[in-house]
Amino acid sequence: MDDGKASRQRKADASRELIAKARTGDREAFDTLATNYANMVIGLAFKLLGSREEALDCAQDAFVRAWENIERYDPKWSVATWLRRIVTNLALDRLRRRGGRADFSEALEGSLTSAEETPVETAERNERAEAVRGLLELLPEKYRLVLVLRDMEGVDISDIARITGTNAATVRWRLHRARALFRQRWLATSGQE
Amino acid sequence: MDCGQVSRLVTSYAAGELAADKAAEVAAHIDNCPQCAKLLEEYRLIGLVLRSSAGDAPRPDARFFRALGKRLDEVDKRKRVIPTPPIFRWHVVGSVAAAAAAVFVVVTYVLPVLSPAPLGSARNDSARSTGPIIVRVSKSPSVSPYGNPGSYVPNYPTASRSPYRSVTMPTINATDQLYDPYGLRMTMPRFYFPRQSWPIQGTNPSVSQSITRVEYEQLRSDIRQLNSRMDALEQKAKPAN
Repeated sequence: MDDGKASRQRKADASRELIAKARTGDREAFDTLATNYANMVIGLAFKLLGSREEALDCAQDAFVRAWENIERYDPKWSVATWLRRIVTNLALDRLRRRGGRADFSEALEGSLTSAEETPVETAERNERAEAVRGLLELLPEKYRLVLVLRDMEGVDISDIARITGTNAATVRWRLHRARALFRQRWLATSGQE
Repeated sequence: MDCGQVSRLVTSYAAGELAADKAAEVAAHIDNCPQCAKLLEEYRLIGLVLRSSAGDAPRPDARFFRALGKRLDEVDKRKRVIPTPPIFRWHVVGSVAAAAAAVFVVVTYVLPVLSPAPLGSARNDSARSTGPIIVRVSKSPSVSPYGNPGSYVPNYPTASRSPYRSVTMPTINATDQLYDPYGLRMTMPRFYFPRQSWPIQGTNPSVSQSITRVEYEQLRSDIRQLNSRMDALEQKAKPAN
């Protein structure tokens, strides 16, 4: 087992211990869990929603819901997958309330610019960022979700299946469709097709 | 492998999700197909763009954790102030519902089957073949010791003596009259539940009845107790030889 795997395993074991304590009502254990997973939960909310403020609100909602329903946690799931499912559902609820569109302008703004770039490079990047934003906003929800979870978050296909309540074959198919749609629209917006 | 097959696998190949043997086949095709190689490059670029756009999420700061802590405190308060009453806990609700269902089945389906046959025409053991629930009357008194046939309220006087001389009947006040809608006490029935017949079908042809095995076992046990109590009473009631 390499270092990365060993470290992930240690983290998973620690999380299981913490959640076992939290299920008995140990609030401190849950606070530690929230601290450990805050980056992950906020990051996923941000990728799904595209807005910083909303991502932070959504992440708080997710932890509150997790604490309210701590006794329903199924130990067959990893803590990360359980939290991802909660935050995904909450983020999708928010998206549906505002008509299914995510706002990725903030998400792309910071990530695709760099101080060392020339103006031409920056212009190219901005152009690409515009295109990516438009594509992510326009993708149907089920495709956007698997694309974010797999290609942006790096979540395993089996975990995506649990989070989305489907099976691995469906996730693979949706991923293929999502990437193909993304490419198709990407090429269309950049005038290559 | 042709271009069509590769186009279905190339997204997974670009993301490194294919099994080794499939990946080798795709790679072999792409080496000799500029069109598919271009497709692969596009998907790799898309993957890169998506990954690079994922890196700028807000970081949780002290304010985030303070606000979260307050909200969790509120949840704690709610949990403490409004504990779930036992009646709303699922296992309690389940038990109550199961008990209610058992009572319903017994009252609705089983008791009508056990309703008394007219005096003097009670079935005997040979009637088992006509239905799994069989009522046997051990005695066929021409006059019921407990009241007039068909009457729901036994009409014997207070502290009367039964025809079985040694048994003193309980005092029945107007306020605690026996509820005996099926007249079970009038005929002193004995009940048999055949072991092998399952599910129980009632003898009333107009109603199709079945009860669960648990309810069946409970009913049989109750009736055994009833029978044994009646046996004991009869034993006492026998005139001394």
